[in-house]
Amino acid sequence: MLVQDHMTCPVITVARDTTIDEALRLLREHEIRQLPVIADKQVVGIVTERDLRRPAKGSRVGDVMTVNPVTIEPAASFDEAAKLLRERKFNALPVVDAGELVGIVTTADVLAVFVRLSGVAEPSYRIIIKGAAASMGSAKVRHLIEAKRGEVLWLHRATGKNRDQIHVRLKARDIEEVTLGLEGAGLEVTTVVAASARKI
Amino acid sequence: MRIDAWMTRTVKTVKPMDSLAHARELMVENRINQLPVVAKGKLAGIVTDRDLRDAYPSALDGGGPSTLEDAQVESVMTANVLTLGPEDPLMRAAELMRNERIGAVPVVEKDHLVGIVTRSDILRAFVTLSKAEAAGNTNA
Repeated sequence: MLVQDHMTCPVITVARDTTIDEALRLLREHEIRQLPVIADKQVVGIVTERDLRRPAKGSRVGDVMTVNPVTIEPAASFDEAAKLLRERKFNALPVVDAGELVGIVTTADVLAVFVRLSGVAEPSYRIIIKGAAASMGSAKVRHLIEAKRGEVLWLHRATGKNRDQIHVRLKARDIEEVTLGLEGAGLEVTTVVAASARKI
Repeated sequence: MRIDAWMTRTVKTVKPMDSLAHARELMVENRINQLPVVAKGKLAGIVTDRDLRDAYPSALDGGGPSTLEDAQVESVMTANVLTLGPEDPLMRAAELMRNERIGAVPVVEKDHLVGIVTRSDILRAFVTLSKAEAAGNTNA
């Protein structure tokens, strides 16, 4: 897992002589928390909202930026980036390749990867529900599954001769608990197929 | 992976009637960006360093300490706080912080604050897990 696979790019940047008002506007407009400062294609600084709102020692980004910020290479491991962010209490690291800015890796990027990996780490199942299913609303079935800590990925009501069936794909830590919950409500769970799960 | 295995349990908190100056002091001293607001043992809101800056932009860096002494936490806090329970998956906390663009999620059990999950806790979990994976231990 490399930095270049999970970084954010392109990056919104500013120059040393960008005004503080303009930089604040960019942060708001793009809903971001920091801006790398570029001169001659090199990263010469970084400014955060906190820097920009400090009582001004001047009116330009160059007056308030942090100079020569810690950067990381695109071929570095993503774990290394996460470690740096945590240990140094940074929110972002500019990604620099041969002196040029190619992206930025932020705590939000780490959160996103974490969510994705947790998703595949949790086993997913496909179940077929029969019995009173035909008369029970989809919302009710969904509710029964969620009550047992299952997460419905999709829910499909069969048609034709199988119209008393509901097919559900779900994630659950304890599929048996989900099955028991459904059976407790008078439903018949006929098929449970576990999809292959990858652990992180 | 449950939240209670990764959350921070000793949470710095403030009361609704505490002064903003006190809140700022706690944040600076402990190098944190948010404080849950607790009233009568229950979670009543959350106040962030951004709330303080938005309310008193100049006061924060020594401009006018008197305003921060006078104003109370209650006047700038967010009252509708997104919370999770200790048994919820840690992934939900990461998802909430990312989607809502927030820095931390208070962990609540029967209205009582039992911990807080911050972005830093997720980073720690992420780094620990990747280390376990690198060592070939997939049971982490």
